[in-house]
Order: sequence, then structure tokens, then C-alpha cells
Amino acid sequence: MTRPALVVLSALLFCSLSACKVSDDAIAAASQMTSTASTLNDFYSTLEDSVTDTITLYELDAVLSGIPFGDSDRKLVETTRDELENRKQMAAALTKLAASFATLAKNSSAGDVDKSATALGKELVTIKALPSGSPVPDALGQAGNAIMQLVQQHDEKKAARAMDQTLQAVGDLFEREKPTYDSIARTHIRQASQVAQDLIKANQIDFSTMFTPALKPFSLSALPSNPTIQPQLKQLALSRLDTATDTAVQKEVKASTAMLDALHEMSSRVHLLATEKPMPIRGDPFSLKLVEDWVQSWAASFI
Amino acid sequence: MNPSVQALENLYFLLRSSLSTLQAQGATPDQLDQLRTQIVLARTNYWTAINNIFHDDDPEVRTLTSQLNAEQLTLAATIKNLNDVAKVIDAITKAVDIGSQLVAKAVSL
Repeated sequence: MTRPALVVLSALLFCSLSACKVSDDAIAAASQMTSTASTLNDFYSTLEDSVTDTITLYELDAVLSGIPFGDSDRKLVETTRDELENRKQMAAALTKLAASFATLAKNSSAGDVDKSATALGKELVTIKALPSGSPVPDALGQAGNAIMQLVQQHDEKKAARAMDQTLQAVGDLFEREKPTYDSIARTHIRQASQVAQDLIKANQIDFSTMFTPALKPFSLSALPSNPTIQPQLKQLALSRLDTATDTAVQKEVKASTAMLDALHEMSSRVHLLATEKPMPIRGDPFSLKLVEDWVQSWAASFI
Repeated sequence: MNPSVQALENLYFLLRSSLSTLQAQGATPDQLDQLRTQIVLARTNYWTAINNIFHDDDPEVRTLTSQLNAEQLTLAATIKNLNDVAKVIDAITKAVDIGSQLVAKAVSL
């Protein structure tokens, strides 16, 4: 992502000033950067929602199991959510900046780039680290400041170098924090599973929806679950819960791995541009689809 | 995965799932309240760890993480096999205390 960004930024800014033709590769890279940054934004957004759901589950657990969830407990979790929100805003700013490059390539005003770069710079300098040995690289904040200043000054070559550092830093940040993202998502899944398990064991679940695969094709619906078959259905439900929990954990790990792969893929493509080599692959990084599929399935259900 | 965060995550869920087990073993309301207190502490340790930078390369943190992992193995077996709830609560308190030491150490680095 780093090297290509340098080239794209250089090409687009330079061409915007000199009216030269922007290379097809630069335009394609700008488009790919936009997709990648947009998916990164979706990833953080989903993780943030996951923390919100975890808070809701703790509230539920307090009522059902008597495990207190006080203001200080809530604040602790909300702090994590705030940091994820910062990362989401950073990704959103990166998306706008990448989109502005594409706009600029179509001879639009450079003002769009100025605005996006300023927003990105602000996000980068305010972001904090999540743990798992993942301090935000110094380059992130420095590059954010540099982008703000240099793009506004239309010093395209220096701005491109700063952008190069920034994109590298975003990738480094994700790579270092990935284990923490996985833990946060896993905690949500495991907490949901725990509460569901308690409800099943306490006979607080209507199992009639489990008959849906048999009844739906015939437009039939089941009566509330019969007490005589409740014990067997309970065992089946608990078994499915375990399987679904494991599957959901694995899906998230695959999605975060795919997101990291996409960031690396962008980096390698931009490197081709930076070294003035042709960029043969024009489509979005393949792994982005896997992330988007996870984002959509996460909002639906774990099964 | 950061081993210390992973250890704290696992300890919280081990304790959380032990609540119904101890209820089934006939724990008294006081004992269950003690367990709930330890569950809250374990959860606080986990989220504090998430919100702070851990230094797994620190020798003391490594030692505490190893201790916590070992304690969890013992604890899981204890919860499963032991009928003496008071001893289980003691073992849980000991494990959570190691978790608290781990977080305190990591935050201080």
C-alpha cells in the first residue's frame, strides 16, 4: 500500500498541476485503495458494534446471573469501543483521501484532496494504541501531520513520501493489533454463547424454530416446543451452540487475516507503480470479499 | 495472540462458566456472591489488559502469565471434580489474584 500510494499521489497531484495524462495504473490503484480503505472502515465498524453488543450482553448477564456490571465496568469497555471508533474514523478519512485521488485524476479540484488529507491527519495524530504489544507506530502521527502540511502546500513529492509512510503505518497498526481485534470479537461470541447456554439450561428457550427446515417448505409452523421432547432438543441446541461458537470465532480470524492480506496486497501493487513497473492486476484485492462477507454475516447471526 | 491477554480472557470465561457448575454443587448464596465478585475482577482485568499495552517480553509478565496458565489448568480440573465449594472458591481467588498482579505489572511498565 505504501509504495503505490506514493506513485498515485505523485502522479495525480503532479498531473493535476501540469495537465498531463494520469496513468491508468495510477487511477486503478486509487480505486483499489478506496475499496480497501472502505472495507477497513467496515471491519472496524463491525468490531465496534461487537463491543456494543458485548456491553448489552453484560447488562443481560447482570440480570440473569447476578454478575454486577457497574458504571466503572461499562466505562472500561466503552474505552475500547472509543479506540475502535478512532480507527474507524481513520479508515473513513483514508477512504475519502483515496477517493479524492480518483476524483483528481478526472481533473477535479485539488481542494477535495486537501480536505481529505486534513481529516486523515487529524485522525492519525489522535489515535491511541490497543494492546498486544501494538503501540501505534510513530510514523503514523508524523505522517499524518506531514500529509496535512505538504498536500496543502502542493509539494507533491514530499506529500507522496508522507503518504507512503502513512499507508505503511496503517498496515503495521493492523498487523500488530490483529490479535487484540480477534480477542475482542471472540469475547463477544463467547459471552453471547454463555448467556444463550444459561437460557437453554434454564428452559427459557422455545425450540420450535428448530423445526423450520422441515416445516418451512410446506408453509407450516410448529407449536411451542413440547415438554416431552424438550430434553432432546435442549441437547441438540447446546451442541449446535458449541459448533456455531467455534465457527464464528474461526470466521472472524479468517476475516481479520483477509483484511491484513488485502492491506499487504495493496502495498505490493503500489510498490509496482512506485518502481515504474506495470500493475497487471486491476481488480480489488480478492480477500476484500471475504471481509465483506464476514461483515454481513456478523450482523445476521452466528449460525 | 498476546499470551497474557489470552490467559486473562480464558480465566474470565472459565470462571463465568463455573457459576452454574457451583450452583449445581450446592454452593451457598454467600459462596456464589464471592464467585461473582471474582468473575467481575477477572472481567475487569481482561478489559484493562485490552486498554493497556502489554509487554510480554518482560520477564515478570512472562512468569505471571505462565503461573496464570498453570493455575487455570488446575482450576478447571478442580471445578470439574471437587465437591468442596469453599476450596474451589479459594482456588478461583488465587487465580484471579495472579491475573490482577499481571495487569498491575503490565500497566506499570
